[in-house]
Amino acid sequence: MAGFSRLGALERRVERTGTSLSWLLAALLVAYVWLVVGAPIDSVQGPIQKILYLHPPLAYGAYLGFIATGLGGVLYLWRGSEAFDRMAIAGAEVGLIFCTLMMVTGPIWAKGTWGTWWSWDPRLTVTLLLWFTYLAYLLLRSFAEPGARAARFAAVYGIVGVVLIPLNYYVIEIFEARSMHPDNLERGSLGDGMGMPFLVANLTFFVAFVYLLARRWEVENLAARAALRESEEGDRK
Amino acid sequence: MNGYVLASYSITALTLILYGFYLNRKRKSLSEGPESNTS
Repeated sequence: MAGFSRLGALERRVERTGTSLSWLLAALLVAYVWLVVGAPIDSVQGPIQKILYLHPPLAYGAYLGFIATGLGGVLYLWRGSEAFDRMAIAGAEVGLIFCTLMMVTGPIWAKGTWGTWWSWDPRLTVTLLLWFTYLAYLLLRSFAEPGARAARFAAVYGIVGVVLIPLNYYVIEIFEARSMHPDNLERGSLGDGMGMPFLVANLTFFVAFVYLLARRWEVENLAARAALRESEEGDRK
Repeated sequence: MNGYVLASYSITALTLILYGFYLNRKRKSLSEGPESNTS
């Protein structure tokens, strides 16, 4: 099975990264909780605005997961190593979990501020499309017969899917007045005392994302190794 | 903290913690033996 010999060192590094990240994540979580609890209450929205320290970091995690899928696809097509194909699968799964949580926390925030769980706003509609795209990717990977053909098709699908990410981010600016969703955050657009909690929130979720991606990739590599071992044992019998 | 905020944070924390535990358990079971199931 291609990918084990050439990428063995990288896989071992991923395993070590996962272990050391768990300690960093624990420290960041303490700072995150402390900063979010102490963050100022927004004068317009009230306490519900604290979902700000949760919802955008989840969105960025989802973007990163789907970028990892596209990047894994590019590297698989270029280098031909199955380890990159497995990275693409890991990225899609972790990204989909972040995307699902973003789509759960968003409507909760919307209900408290807009008075409705969902609206067919351009940002929400493209996010739903993004979610279905990567759900379909994972369904394709679980139902298709494993092999180079399925991996090649999935790589192209994953690369094309990445196009939805800038569309999802800039859709508010494209549709301007027709969007209920607030504008993308810019430097200085947060209130006093909200910048640091938001920064630590993004850092915490970034580390959580990398940790989960490393673990998921490791699981995929171990599963592939076990399948290879099983088939070799079957051949010997 | 109001109910919406608590619900959002609880759902996110629970999901990510359970997923992390699931991955660690799966990783351990795959590292331990060749007879372990694959994903």
